Amino acid sequence: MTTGSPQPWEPWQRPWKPWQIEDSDQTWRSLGAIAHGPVVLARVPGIAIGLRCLFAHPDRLTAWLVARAEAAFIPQVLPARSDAEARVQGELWELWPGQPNDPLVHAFIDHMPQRLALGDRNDAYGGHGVLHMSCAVRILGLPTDDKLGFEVSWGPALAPTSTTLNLPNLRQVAASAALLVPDESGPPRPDADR
Amino acid sequence: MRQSERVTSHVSQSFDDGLGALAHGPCVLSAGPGIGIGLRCAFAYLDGLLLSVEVKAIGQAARNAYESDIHPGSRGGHRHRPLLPRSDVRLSVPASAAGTRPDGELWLRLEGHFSSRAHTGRGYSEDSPGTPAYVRDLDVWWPTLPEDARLPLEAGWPELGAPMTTTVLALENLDQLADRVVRLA
Repeated sequence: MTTGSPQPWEPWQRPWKPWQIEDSDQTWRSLGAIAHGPVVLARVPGIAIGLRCLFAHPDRLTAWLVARAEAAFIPQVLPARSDAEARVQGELWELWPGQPNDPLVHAFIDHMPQRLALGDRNDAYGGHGVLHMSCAVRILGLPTDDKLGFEVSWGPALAPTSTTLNLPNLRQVAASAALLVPDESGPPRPDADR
Repeated sequence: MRQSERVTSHVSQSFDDGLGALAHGPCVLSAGPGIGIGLRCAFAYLDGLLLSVEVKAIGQAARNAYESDIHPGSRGGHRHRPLLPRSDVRLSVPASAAGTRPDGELWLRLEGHFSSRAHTGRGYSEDSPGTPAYVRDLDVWWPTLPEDARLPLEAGWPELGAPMTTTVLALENLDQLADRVVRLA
């Protein structure tokens, strides 16, 4: 469970299993606010990965990622970029819930990387020789410099590609996120005080 | 990985091949005690609109949602018999809406259930501790662009306390749409 702090972990603490971190009550109940619209994060022949939308919640972000790959370009392996990286990833992500052939996506908040759990996907299907993925993934915390970095890669077919999004006034945007789920006592009634 | 079903063949290929253009941001469509139905955003394409809808419930409303859900088999393959009369969230466009199809039907294209703790940090099962929570994302395709950039959307789940409510969406960025749509393919 996160607290009111904008960052759910201290800078020296790597979130070992971010998918096990619960949302704060405020964030869970919020619908989010638009922090950034559609943008292509990486594109090479046969493969494209895009951000359909970025939502800001009181203490984290939600990225709606979309990937499209023509069958001939879908990588079958996801090699680490070095032996050291393979060793570290093996230790860090042995319980990773995602698919091994997923695109590798990192978000950078205040230059701290978070590997995004594309296992949260709500859709993946193939057809006509094309694979489509669509998933809403959590990014924990809010950047203090109003900048969000992405690095995406997909096996040997897509080299790591970085994008930095400018998110002006992010904290005000996040604070404006609409409440979606009222208390079980219900939304306030206009005549409640009468 | 869950394989989504293609509910209809009428959905445009443009949804698959592009990110669209942002036409509307988040707004609450209907809410009741412990339950909310909201539009996360709407994306415009040359031949229609993608409406992303989120349904969330907590506490007793979440229990009721699970026990009346008409799609129990799609939550991780755990099929169970609902204890309450089956019902579901309702979404429609009133037939009187100008420039829209006469039947007011919304084409449910893709649907995702987020029910485990791994996805949202909260979930619900018979043996899980804590407050039960229900989260569901619905992507809906509306196959026309309203001429006046206004789309009335009716939403609710009355059986669970979220009344049917009509919200008129004022869509933006429909001008020069061909230049605004972000493409992947």
